[in-house]
Amino acid sequence: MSDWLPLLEPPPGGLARLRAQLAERPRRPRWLWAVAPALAVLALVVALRVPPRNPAPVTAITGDPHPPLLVRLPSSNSRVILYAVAPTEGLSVRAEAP
Amino acid sequence: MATQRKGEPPELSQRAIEEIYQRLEKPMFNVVYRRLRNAEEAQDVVQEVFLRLWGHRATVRLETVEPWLYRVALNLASNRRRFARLWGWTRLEGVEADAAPNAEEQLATRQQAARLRQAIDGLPEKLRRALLLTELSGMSHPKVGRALGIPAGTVASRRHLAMRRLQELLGGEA
Repeated sequence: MSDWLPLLEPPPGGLARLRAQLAERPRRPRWLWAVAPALAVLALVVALRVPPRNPAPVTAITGDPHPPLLVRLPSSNSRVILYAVAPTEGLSVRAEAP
Repeated sequence: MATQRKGEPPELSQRAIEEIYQRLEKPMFNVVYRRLRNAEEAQDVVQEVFLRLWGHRATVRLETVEPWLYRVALNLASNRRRFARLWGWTRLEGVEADAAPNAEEQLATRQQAARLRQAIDGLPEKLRRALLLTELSGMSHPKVGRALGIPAGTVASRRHLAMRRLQELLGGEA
């Protein structure tokens, strides 16, 4: 230790303050850190393996129990198929993924 | 649930951390105080250092805890100092003068302390860190070297260089 740099006394109550702060800190469950990544991977796998929901049949949308007549419409986007449904009331257009 | 994996160091208990705190509080406070010149700030930093140790208690080894703590302390002190400079507030204190008995001696001590403070502050960061740790922490040169990430021989040479610069700056007082 130095003789030309005098050692100063720190303010009192340091240890008590530290104890109080340590008591405030939540003791996080360490097992959670091991389990959390596994759970995340599992959730991802489940999400990828669930088959996509089939689109609702047109009859469910139109309310007509009989399958309606679908007429394919020209589309500028090859990934989008447009159908015209011709029920009794007007003309509705619905987009579906190919 | 504290599980110890094979090959890992045993986790530091709260009791062990408190014991280390009791042993190192004073020297560490002095090292940090010499950077911040504010007792309250210095104590805050020392507290923060031990809270960080608590957060890293599973990975820090007992044998290397001292250099680890001083490294964190110096970094935190430097950050605070930078922040204080950035915002333009530095509350300097003159604690060193309290030991002098009468007003004349107190003034002389205060002036001497101020000169020493200026001289230490005027040192390059590398030299100042080496000087403060070797003079105030009570750690051996190899341990100081571990705290600073340099070989023990470099610690000795930096300390020597720092002392020589102080002597030049103070005109042979140091």
